Amino acid sequence: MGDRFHSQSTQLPGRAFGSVKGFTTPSTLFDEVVVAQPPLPEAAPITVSVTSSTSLGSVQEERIFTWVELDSSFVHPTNIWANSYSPVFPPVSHTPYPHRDALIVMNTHYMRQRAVGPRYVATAPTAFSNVESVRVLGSHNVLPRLTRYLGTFFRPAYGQALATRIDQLAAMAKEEPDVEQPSSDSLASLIAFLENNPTVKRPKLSIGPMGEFCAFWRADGAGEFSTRFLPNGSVRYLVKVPNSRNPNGVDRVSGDTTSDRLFDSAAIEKMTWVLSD
Amino acid sequence: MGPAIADTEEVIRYCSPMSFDDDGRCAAAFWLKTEKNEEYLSVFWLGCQVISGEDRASRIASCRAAVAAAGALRPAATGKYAVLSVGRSRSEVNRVVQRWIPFTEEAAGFPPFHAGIHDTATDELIVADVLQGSIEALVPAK
Repeated sequence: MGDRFHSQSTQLPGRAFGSVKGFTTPSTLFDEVVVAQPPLPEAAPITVSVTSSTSLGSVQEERIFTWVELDSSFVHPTNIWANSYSPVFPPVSHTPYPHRDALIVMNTHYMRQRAVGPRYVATAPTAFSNVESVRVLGSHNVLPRLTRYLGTFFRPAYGQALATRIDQLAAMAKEEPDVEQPSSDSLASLIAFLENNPTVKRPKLSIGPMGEFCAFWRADGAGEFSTRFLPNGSVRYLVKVPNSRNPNGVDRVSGDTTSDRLFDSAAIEKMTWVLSD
Repeated sequence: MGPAIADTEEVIRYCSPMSFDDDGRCAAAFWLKTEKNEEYLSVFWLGCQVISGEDRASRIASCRAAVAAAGALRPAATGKYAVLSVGRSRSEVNRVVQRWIPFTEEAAGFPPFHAGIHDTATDELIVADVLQGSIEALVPAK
């Protein structure tokens, strides 16, 4: 069991927000509480205190808690309690910047300790890609976190349906200890692509041999678009369309790019079956 | 690479339930573990002499038992085997990408019925799509 903390006081004028999220796996050594969601009052302080306990007994766990303010394109972290071994953090008031969509308190200590391998970073970051790239630093398994994101902040309307399918695939993975488990880095890359391209329809999903998420769009007679979001941030894709000059022929084009270039590299704007009406 | 398996033979490839998308397609089952430098796609050769049976169904049943006895694979309850005709699969891949991919025995360090599909890394998504389209049948792996 890892760390656990509780939101003690989360008061906004006239309305209380907040929820408690605990830890369930040893590899998840930090967590966050969403303390406020829209509409956030402007220039109004929010007061939060945190009690952090650990089941590790006598092991002293250093904790750093951070406010993270975000909107659709911006993440602003501010340390509020740093380098403390105390399990109790006194109340702190914080006034969010104007026009933020959400305010989160995260235990960021473990994020700083863990190293990550090379990966491509989206050049058109959203709140998702920013905040998740920070979260990924701190955990080997952020899949539940990512599916929770799909059900809350994800912009396209099919977020919850996508989360349900991912949960279904994750449950299948648990039945097969010999195969690679679903990769949270791969899923983060897929979600960033979908969020950056909201005109793209909900994809069909499967899991590839490296635990990577594979997204498919197809329409009878129109074509198929298959993608393989590899854990290192690269994407392999295949476009399959009927040959316009040969009724029995099929044209196939494959390529290799990054998630933030996929839309242009694969010329998705020409694939009517991939885009919403 | 071991001896080639004849075009008249059949092999089966394990397809994890996770490799099937919402439409029941399983191209992902024919992709290599790229980041682990996997050299070939593992399959089981139904014509191997240790596999018995007069027809495909009985050879698949024999293969299931041999896989379990050898501990070669622990299939999921809803996992499938994709049945591939060696000759038809190679011919289809050659028609699309203009090369004959070898199906070979790969028994060294494995049970004798273990085999491999080689040379699928180049144009991998295309080759996998063609192999998926060549599946003769999907049967329960358990």
